[in-house]
Amino acid sequence: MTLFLTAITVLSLLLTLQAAHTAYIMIYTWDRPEAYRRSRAPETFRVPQKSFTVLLPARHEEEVIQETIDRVVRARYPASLIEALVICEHTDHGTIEKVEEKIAQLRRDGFQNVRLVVFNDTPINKPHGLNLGLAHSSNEIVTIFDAEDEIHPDIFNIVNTVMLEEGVRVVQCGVQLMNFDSSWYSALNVLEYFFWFKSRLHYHAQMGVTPLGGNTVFFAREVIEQLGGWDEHNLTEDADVGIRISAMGEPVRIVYDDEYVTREETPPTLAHFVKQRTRWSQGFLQTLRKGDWLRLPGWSQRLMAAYTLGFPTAQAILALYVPVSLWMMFATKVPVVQALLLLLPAYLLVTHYFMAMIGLFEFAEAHGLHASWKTPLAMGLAYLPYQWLLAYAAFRAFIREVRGISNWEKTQHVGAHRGDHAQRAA
Amino acid sequence: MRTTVEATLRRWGDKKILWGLLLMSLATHSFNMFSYPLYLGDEGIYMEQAWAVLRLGKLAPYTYFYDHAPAGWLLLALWTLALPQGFHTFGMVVNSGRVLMLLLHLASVVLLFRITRTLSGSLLAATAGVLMFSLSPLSVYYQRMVLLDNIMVFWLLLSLDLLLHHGSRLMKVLASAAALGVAILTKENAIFFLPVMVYLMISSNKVEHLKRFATAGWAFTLIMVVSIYPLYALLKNELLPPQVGFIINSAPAEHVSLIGTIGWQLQRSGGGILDPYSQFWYFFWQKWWAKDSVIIVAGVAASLLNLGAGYLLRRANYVVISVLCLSFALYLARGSVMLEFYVVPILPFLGMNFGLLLALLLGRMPAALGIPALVVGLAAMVVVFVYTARDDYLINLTQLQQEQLAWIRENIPPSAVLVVDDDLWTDLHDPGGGGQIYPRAHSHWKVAQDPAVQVQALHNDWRNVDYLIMSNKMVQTFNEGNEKLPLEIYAHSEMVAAFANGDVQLYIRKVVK
Repeated sequence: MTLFLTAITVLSLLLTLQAAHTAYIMIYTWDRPEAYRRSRAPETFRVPQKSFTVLLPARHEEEVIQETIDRVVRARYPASLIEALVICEHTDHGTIEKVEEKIAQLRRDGFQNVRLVVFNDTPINKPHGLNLGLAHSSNEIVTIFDAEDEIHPDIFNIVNTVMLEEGVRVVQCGVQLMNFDSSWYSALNVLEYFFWFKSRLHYHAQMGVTPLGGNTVFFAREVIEQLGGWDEHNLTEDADVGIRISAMGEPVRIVYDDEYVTREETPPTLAHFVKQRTRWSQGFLQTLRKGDWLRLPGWSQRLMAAYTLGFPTAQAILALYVPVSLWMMFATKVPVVQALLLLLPAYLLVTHYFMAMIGLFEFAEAHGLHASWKTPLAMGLAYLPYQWLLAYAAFRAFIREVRGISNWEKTQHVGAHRGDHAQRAA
Repeated sequence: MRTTVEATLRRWGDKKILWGLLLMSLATHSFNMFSYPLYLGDEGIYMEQAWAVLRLGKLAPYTYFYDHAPAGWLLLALWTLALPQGFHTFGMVVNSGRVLMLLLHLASVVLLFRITRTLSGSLLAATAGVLMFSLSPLSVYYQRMVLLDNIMVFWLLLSLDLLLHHGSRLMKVLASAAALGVAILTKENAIFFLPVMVYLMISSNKVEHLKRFATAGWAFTLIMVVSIYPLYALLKNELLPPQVGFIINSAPAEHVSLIGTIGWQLQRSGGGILDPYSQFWYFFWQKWWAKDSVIIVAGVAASLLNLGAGYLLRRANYVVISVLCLSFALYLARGSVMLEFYVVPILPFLGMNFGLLLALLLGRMPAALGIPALVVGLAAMVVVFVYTARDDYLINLTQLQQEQLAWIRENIPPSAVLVVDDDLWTDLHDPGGGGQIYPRAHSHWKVAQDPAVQVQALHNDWRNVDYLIMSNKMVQTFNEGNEKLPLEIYAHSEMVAAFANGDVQLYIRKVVK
């Protein structure tokens, strides 16, 4: 029993440290005035100069793909400097049909810069599509949008300006889930994105260890070519590319300005959500096992990378620990000081929840949305179940990885973020 | 353009002025600090509770009954842990606590200087304010003592400083809340500064993108830190009084409780400002006024005038300075139980107000006239202060307590049962000092009140006690508290040794059986 108590006390101290660090990087941007300044988009745009290749991998996206193409070609940037490639697998007739229909329509309107690339080889996944698109394209800057993305019309102006002014070759712009009130877990999911892009990524970028996002990320062509493209056997090819770019010592610029974020939606059902999360956790584990992070220059960066990639698993342990600590508080007789130590992780979890609550109102205000007082209450009720859900996905990922299952479980998109509340003047 | 007093001070530079103030404070607070004043019973209590933390892993050597939150003596314990010889590094046990008080005071000097300069916008105010805070005989006397109030003042000033100088760093805003939380957990009366702190917190966080996180985060952090205390009580099953607690817990049993003690503290009354025979007026005239009327008159008058000035000149910060002082004055005057050192938390703010008023009156004066006047005035103040407090620098009172301890060790066997005042408690219990120890030496408070000592150890019988170690003031304490058993012990004992210096007399009495 003593051994068990000692072990669990050590575990709770480790969890507390981990959770405190997480809490800190959640508010990093608010703590550092200079980070906050850097996160803002430029106020005036430079004359368009960089040319962009937009890769749009799409699979069973017939419902949303046309609008996405439309938004890309009608962005506020010279059409001559943009080429868009929609990449489809050859049996996906529905999407191919919609894309061809759209291309024809755009031709009539005078846009010649959208092409369809169809492939019939394996693996059928996003990184394969991206590599194919890369080979078929030629513009200076390569970027990725997902089929359901609602991009801001000025996104190319922002990246053009930042790249010209700061000479950076990799820019990650903000991505934000919008539909915070469409299901019990959506507010918490939305806030994960909010803190990840608004704060945490800045901390990563400053450290030189940046797991990139899957879209609205911009690379100078030579950077991605030097890397040899995307890893087709990795479930989170985006984070993997980020780690490899960091290992090259290439700085990454993060821009999260509420006004210019790319809008997305939370997964429509719990099953989709769990699948998406499993994929992410497993992709992180794959990246961890590949060991590219070992080539990072400093030990603190390697530690950070290992920690970040193992993070979903650590978070899972925290979520499962809380009931244990509450049970121990009432059911076992331990010295008071030890009991206090055992409760520290619960304190930190309350802190995380509280920060999420403030984040909710920040998010709502930034996007002109209204969060009622009921939302935080609902979030409070959903908080632990949500953590358990993440824990479940993390364990599922762990098991899948151990058993060597690595097929791509795709997330479905229905366009919930394009509802009335997310109307945007284009 | 003619040079003003303020401009001349600025030319001298704030670093130099602050160093001067620090050296002066070091001199006044350290010179003769181990010899005067007499080790107070309360100093002994905090040292013995720090001792209990380190040696027994408990918050007090006796039943801890939530009389004060423990952050103060936890810090003392931590400090002692860092000392090479622990409790005995500086001779008598209380001395090691007094060294920590000296360090905290020097830190408080720096903090008060920075805070006053920022709030008043004047270097003159900061200089004069710190001078009064640090050199007043009232300050020198009480700030040397190991008192929770002194520790609390440090945390409070730290919290204020972080709040006023956060430079849009969220972590500093949160650290300010944590420091205030620790202040409250050190001495609960810090809570009377809460309204001003909340106002300052809101007014210092106007930056749009930070506002929400800073204000809510501040409140949240404060609550989280303070909540550790009731949580501790809850874990010990001592949050609620037994008569309420049994509803939740199956076994009703007599025990101490946090809520019970708070209730008891709130209903204790010592008479307010309207009652001329109240404890407030007793201490006011007997202790505070007698030691230093200057800081009282100048500080209180300045607080009132600054309030008016702040209103007339539309300067919110002047009002803040005034209210920092007046809110605590209100607490002192409201009429609860009072101890003489309750004046400690108001001292920095009396100084601050004096400084501000002086700056308002003299700051714009031409330097040619103002600087000589200021130098002469402040020098005269320092001379008067030092002269009034000459006892602090010249008299050796703790010598008596050393002699008393030496006598005990020479003449009383370690197995004897002693009833003592707390000043010597840790010296008698801790073996680290090399002297003989007395495991059965009990605090007279506990002999009178704690069933674990009174009933279990002494069976409520004076015959089970061998010696009574006391001062001339203790009989009065026994009578005031109606302490039955100590009075019986006193009545059945005779004096075997006495140590005296002026009106301070220490005795050792042997119980005649």
